[in-house]
Amino acid sequence: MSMAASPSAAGAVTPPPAEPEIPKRRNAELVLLIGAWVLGMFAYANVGLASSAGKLQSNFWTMGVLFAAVLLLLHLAVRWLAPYADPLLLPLAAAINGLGLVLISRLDPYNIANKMVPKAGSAGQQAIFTVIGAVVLVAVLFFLRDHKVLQRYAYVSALAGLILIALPAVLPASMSEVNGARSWIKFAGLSIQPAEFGKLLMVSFFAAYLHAKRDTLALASRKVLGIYIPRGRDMGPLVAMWAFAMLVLIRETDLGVSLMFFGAFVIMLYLATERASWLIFGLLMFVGGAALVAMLFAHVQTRFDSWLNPFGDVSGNSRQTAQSLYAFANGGLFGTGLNQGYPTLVGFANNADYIMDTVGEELGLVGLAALLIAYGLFVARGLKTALLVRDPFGKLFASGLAVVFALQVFITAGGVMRVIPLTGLPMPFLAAGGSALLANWILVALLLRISDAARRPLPPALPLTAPPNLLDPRGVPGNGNDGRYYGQDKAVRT
Amino acid sequence: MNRPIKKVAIFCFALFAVLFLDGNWLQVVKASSYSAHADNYRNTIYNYQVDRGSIIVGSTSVAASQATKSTTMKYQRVYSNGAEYAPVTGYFSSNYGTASLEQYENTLLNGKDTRLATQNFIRKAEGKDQAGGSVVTTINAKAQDAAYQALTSELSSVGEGAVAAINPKTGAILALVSAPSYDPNKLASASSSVQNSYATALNNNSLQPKLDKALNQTYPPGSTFKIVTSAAALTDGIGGQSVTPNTSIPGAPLTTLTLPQSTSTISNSGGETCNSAVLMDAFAQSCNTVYGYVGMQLGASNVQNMAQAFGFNRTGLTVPMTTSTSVFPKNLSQAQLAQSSIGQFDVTMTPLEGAMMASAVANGGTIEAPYLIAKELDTSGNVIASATPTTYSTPISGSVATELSTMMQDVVTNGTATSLQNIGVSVAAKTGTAERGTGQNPVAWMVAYAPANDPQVAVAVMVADNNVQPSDAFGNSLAGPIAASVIKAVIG
Repeated sequence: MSMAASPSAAGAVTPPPAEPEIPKRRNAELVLLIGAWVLGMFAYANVGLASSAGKLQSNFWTMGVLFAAVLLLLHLAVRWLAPYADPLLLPLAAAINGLGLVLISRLDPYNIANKMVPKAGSAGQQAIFTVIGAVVLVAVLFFLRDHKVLQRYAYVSALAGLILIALPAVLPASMSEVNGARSWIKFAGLSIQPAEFGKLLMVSFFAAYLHAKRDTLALASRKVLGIYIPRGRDMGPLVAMWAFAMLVLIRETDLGVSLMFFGAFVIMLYLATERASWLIFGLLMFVGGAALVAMLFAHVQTRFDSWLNPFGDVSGNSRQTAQSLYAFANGGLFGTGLNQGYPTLVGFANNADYIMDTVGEELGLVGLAALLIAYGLFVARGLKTALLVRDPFGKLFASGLAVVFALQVFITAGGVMRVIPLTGLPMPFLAAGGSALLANWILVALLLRISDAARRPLPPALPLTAPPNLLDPRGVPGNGNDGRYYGQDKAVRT
Repeated sequence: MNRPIKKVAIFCFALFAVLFLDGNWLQVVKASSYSAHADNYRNTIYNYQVDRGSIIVGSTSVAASQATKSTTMKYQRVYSNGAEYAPVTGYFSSNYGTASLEQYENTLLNGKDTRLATQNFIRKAEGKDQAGGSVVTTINAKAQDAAYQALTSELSSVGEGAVAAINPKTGAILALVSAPSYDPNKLASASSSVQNSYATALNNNSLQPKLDKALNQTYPPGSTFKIVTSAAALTDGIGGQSVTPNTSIPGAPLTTLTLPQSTSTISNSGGETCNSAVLMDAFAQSCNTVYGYVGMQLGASNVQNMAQAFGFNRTGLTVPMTTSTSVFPKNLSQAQLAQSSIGQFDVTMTPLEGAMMASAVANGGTIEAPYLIAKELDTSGNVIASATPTTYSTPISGSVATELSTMMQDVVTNGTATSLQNIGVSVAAKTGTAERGTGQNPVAWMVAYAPANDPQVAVAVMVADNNVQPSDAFGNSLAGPIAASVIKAVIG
């Protein structure tokens, strides 16, 4: 701040350097989308050629054209509505969705024969919801031009989210229970997994709420043994979320939903406050609570038992866990090849919660790793968006969406692969389930919207040519001030 | 807020890393152990999709896979001469698992053997079914036929029997017969109900047809055990004096042996009086009173040590099927020792052990480990492994073997094994007639080898049949003719 630093007399200010040109990367996205199409069609051809018919499916080219049309629609919509959006999000989601369609169609013959899905199979249904998902993505991008608008609806989101998540618990079992887990809403022949929409609403609410309360939650705390202990009343939201998570666990038998929401909340709490103590409290509360619930409630305990001892009751409770492990074991390094393994042996939900079995068995460790990398990259782009976006709500919202997605992948795959007890979540984009697919495409739309805002260049900055005394209340001409405000001067404050 | 976002990014990376590591754990480290679980139905499916290898005798397959028109069960297992070869092949059943070579050579037969990995990888790339390797057995088809026909034609419906024949110079098993036998085709049937009803019938049969009596059942050896007692006497001597076949055992009773601290006595077959206490004569005549006395004079440890050198009490003999352990009891009183020395009390042996006893004498004192697999072949029939004979034990010296050989030849020429006279070859043998419980006929044994001067086959025949006249239930009359057929089949 010395005099020598100022090149010229007051008033003659050099214009600020131009914002660097930010590439939109839309063409890269297009190339990647073509890659996603090729991958999906190659896998679909594999399934057809390995079937007993030994030739391509009769609808092979119809599906190919339809898939290409959906991808083209998405691409054009992003070019038009979110031109600066991250170029990886859409192709990754499209590739996983395409693979999911292939896997579901591969499992359909068995599931139709065993009356586990409607007579027409579930691949067609999933394809329809892929189209609906694409349309909804365009609609979200069209109507939601600024993600910050969602802040205004924080409490509406919270209410809607809580109702959606809690609804299956209060509905009669006949309307909510599928294979022991009460996490569904069934009516008029439709099955909806409300938690999938609930996760979007709750993350939106968490982001808005924590954005508003972050200072209180971060600063009003005592430090004991190097850990910041929050004030009792500030523990309220954490305790409320914990109680909610435990209720979900008990009523819906669903460790997955419970862990996903609570985990996302605790991590977002940490993001907002930068206080690691929240993580410690959150972890302790969840593990303690879950262990207590497992001890008290037999139906939760069964799931823990088959996790700890998957080969203990291979014809009963732990049958699916054991069969799932056998599928992975049979896949080995390179897999049996699509349509050449026996992932249907796991039985119920082979195309939903257990769809990773098919990946592990037929695509092998190599295919599993590739899929995990695709999911990981998706999460990474979400977090990158959070790093780049300028507003704190956007940061919390984007990272919240990325985290909830990562947790869902981990909880679902980890349950099937016996890292954690088995839960009842569908694998994002991969598993059969229209509501889940729709919700995940909305998640992509939201991330595209935020990343568009993050990477969009700012409007040109106002040149700082106003009189110095307007900018600097302390500014006194001839006081060694060059007319620019350099921030508060410590010497003045004392 | 970027600092915690970066930390959360690392956390998310860790979540994916955990999944990736777990994938490695499941799909590489634990893959083979999970795949081997009994309830893993993939094994059953795989078994019927693979062109399973054959079990070969000479140049003929006794167990082979035939292609079917079904897509789920692509191959059907077929056994030719199923019942005759059942102790060798075992069975391959979708409901009842596997047995014998089908069990012990399963990974070679079903193609999972790592030595077949390259061939099956190529087959997969060519779109062909996976295939297994084949097993060539050491069985001599003529000997097996002779043994099975002789045994089954003689046995009544309540009788059981077994034959084990080995080449004393190598240990190669030449015949392995168990009766009554079963038809492995029915256990491998494509029809589950055929399998189930047949398996139920087999399990309800008190004679246990599925049990391989040559390898996996033990019987009292009776007088055949006198080979071991003689070996101990010739090796260790009695009372500090060395013993030869011509030694007359001083003090040995010829009619009745009273047992110390016991009310029971040992007498001879039919209450006869033995001609002399000369070891060789007592052996030829199978004189119980002399041998019971010899055993007591030798002491429990000498007899037991010799029995163990012959293979008694030694677990873990595999051919590759695991065999039952022949037993010589421990901590014997003198009375029990006397009875054990003539192969009674709690002494039991498998028919295979009987053949091994004969082969020790035939092979200059050394028992070659018995084996059933001559060669292993890959999917295109090339040899990938050949058997090399290994020594199992050397219970006796060459000179003792020569002495025992003389004694065993004398059994045929001057003693109890008259059924082996005049069969065109000189035979060395020992008969056995072991008492069982009251109301049961004795177990009839013949342990023999031939030709006496250049042994090519050592055979043990066991017959236990309650439906013959007790006066006919002797080793010589029941087991002897069967041993003669086997010897003629091998030599002829």
